[in-house]
Amino acid sequence: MTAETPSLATIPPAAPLGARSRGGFDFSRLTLWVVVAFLVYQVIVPLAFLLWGSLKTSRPTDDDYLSLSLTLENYTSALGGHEFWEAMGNTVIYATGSTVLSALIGIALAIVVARTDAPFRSTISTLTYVRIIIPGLLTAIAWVFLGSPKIGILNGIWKNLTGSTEPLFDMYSMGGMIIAQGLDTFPLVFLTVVAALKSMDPALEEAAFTSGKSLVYTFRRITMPMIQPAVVASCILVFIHNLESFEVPLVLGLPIKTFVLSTEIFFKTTYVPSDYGAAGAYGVLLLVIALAGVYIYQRMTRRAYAFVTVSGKAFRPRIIELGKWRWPVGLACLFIVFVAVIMPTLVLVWASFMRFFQQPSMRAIESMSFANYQLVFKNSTVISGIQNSLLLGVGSATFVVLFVSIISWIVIRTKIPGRKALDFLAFVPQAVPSVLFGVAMLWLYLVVPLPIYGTLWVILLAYITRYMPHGMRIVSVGMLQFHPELEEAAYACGASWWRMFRKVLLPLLRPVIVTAWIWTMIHAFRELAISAILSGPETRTVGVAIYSLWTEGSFGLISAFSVLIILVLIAVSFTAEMIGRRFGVAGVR
Amino acid sequence: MVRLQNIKKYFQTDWGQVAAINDVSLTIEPGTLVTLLGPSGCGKTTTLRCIAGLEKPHEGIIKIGNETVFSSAEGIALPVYRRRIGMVFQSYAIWPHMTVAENVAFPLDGTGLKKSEVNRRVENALDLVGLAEYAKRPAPQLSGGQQQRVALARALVAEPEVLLLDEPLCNLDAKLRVSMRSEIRALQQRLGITTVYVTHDQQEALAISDLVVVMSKGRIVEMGTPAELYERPKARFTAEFIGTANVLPVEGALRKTSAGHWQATSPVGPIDVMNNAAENSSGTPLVMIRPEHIQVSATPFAEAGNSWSAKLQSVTYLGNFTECQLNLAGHEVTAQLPGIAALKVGQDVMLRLPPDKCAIVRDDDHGSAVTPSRAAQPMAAAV
Repeated sequence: MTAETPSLATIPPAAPLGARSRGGFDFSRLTLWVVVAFLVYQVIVPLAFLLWGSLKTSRPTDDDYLSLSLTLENYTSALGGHEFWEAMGNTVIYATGSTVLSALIGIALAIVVARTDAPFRSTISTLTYVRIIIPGLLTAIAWVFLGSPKIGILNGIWKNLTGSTEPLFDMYSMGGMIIAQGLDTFPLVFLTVVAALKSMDPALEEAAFTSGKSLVYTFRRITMPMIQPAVVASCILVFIHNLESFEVPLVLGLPIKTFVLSTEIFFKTTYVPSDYGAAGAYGVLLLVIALAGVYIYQRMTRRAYAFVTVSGKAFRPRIIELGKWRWPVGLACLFIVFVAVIMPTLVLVWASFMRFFQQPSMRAIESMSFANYQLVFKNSTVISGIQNSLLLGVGSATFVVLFVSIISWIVIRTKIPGRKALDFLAFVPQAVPSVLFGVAMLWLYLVVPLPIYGTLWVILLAYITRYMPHGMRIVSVGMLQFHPELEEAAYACGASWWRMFRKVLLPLLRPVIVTAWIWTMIHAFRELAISAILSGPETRTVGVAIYSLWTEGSFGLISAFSVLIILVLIAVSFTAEMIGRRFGVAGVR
Repeated sequence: MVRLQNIKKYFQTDWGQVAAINDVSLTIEPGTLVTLLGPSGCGKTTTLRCIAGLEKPHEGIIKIGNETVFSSAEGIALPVYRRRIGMVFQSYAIWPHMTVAENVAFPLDGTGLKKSEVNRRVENALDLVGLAEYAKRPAPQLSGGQQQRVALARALVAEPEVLLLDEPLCNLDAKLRVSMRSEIRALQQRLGITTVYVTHDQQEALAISDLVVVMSKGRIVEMGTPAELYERPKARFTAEFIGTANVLPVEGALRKTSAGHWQATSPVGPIDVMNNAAENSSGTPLVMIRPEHIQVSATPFAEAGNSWSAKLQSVTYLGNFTECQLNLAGHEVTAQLPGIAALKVGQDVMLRLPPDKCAIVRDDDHGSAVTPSRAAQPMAAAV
């Protein structure tokens, strides 16, 4: 396209859209409206259907579903019943407990890694990163292998050592669920706190030293209050995440009939006799809590920005010399990441070589074989799962990055009224639990006469919405780093908006776009909650395939499959990290 | 009083060990304001941070008052918070989670002082910097200049032995910089506090110092009062770093002609020079004269000597003076003439270097490190 072609779009930055279009049809306004319309359709419409469904006692397939006979019956029976309050209580205990555990581990490790001379710091960082990559479903399964009272390896070792007949601990418990989830989500806190500690001007601490204050006093009075907004914000984000957490309660909670709201909604939707109305009411109530969390989170991050000057300046942080505590502290931290990352991975590797799961012994070692790895590639559930998840991963990642690039540009670079609302709208899905969004999409496409129900398309649309907020955060942070003059120079050279977007903006954003793409790809590839609700027999994803193998008890096969997935995901994300470095920007993890 | 003895500090870089401070010795008399001046990377900030205790030298002795706060030989390294210092940082380092009063009160927290006494001192300190009515403000709501004052109040509130200022004005705009520097100087004089001031701005250094220490590549090049360093610098580096300097090469040895007069043989002929502060030091001698001291005239000068014919190459009117570029026997010379000069480009003019304004400077290897910051380039000497 040359500059002479009638412009597809001429959106001058910092000017109302279309103000400069020289006659003819204004394509920029069209682009904008298409994006806005799609965003509204993808975010608002499903949630509206969720709300609608919660006010109906009939099913989406019934004739009177769209009639205006609404009722609060679902809410009154939910709030009046014992089942809801039990699930609610479990959810609060589970989400709070695992968030507290995440925060304790994440903050402690972050301080050690960012501010001390303890050994193994880079190992701890790398393993924390690996922890993010390993799907939660796989660790939940690994924890069964480790901590089930009957087959758990750790309990087996304990029984052998002590001669006791009682297990050391039982992962099939609220405590077990909290441990599994807490060890899964601490990296989020870790990364935020490390970033906060590193972006803090060391002069703030030095000023306290020169004011005659000791290291400990300074840490308590200056450092902690300074990073507090970042800590609180990340904890809220983890709390929202744990609130909607699905995999751990499914694997560890279901056998002992401990339901949280997400698993309760899942079963009310997918198992006979299903109760859509109750699921809708539970969902809306869960959504209210999550939205409150997101609201607080957004307020906190605004405060965090007021505190931490985002100067992009790389500070040389002050390192605390631990002296004789150096090794004990380093080893303690290494132990934590060993328990959280290495141990679950090792047990999956172990189980993958076993035809039948068994405790480590000489006999077991002799029976090791690659049989499971051969079976994996013959299993049709696995093969179709991989195919579907690859399609979904690539499709949703590509669409998400393109979509959020345009939205970010509108939000950051234009002065269009309503761009704040656009920003908010793109962030809302962060608050919507995956299970809930799956349910909303299910109901929407049971009613809307688009023939995509039961196909991969419906899952794809759900993924796009689900992963948009995170992609948006990555890309908009990247876009904020570029001076608007880089774009204005393109206009000054006679480029149209679309040409500027393709030739200037996208290439500049390449590192963040690669990061956002990989992030979305990895998360979509291993997704379970949404696909558990939307998958049909032909559209099973990797997550659904693993879960169905799990319910069948094919432990060896799952383990072999898991090991392969973990290896591939680690390879992919470290390659992405390297690509990001080559482009001069470290990946936004 | 602050005393540094043979301070050495190295940094490990990818291409080997680099001396950030290379054998620096310095005594700062009580109640004086001493400026460490030099281009970035000259070691001035590192020296200041060594005094504060934020950096640890590899060798040397540092004394604050009568107390040895650092001694490599004796293994003494007092932690920062035990040294009686107050410091103002380049970024001000005002804690954003505290109010103005809380920031200023921080050094007094936990010292056992009564609350009323703390309040009194905080009020005094804020009064001193003219921020009394801002006490209850959250710190982030202040402007740059106000944050600067809070930082100053905080550094002074505990009545430290020595005040350390690390480029305190470089984040302020030009006008504010000028007024703040005279305020800092007035405050320092009023309190009589020993002060070490780091800056790369030569005008700032001239304006506020009792003593200016010029540093380059981790060494002290020379020190002196502002007037000494400007009028009679010893080193070529000083001459070119502080203000603008014309430098003419000297051929052969200097000859002392009479009391207070030296004759330097230059490519344009013998020059009578009346300043030779570096008489006994080594290094290649050069004749230095400031542009504003050069006299230019269309007609010959009445005074004999130090006068030559030169070609006028360019005339630039700059408001408070007119700058002329002249070609003096193949050497480019910059002169600044008051007011509007009635001269034409290409004209042959007479040029005079008043002997009392000419100074002998010595060139050692420091000269090459300098990139003149002013628009007027010094004479391209044969070096």
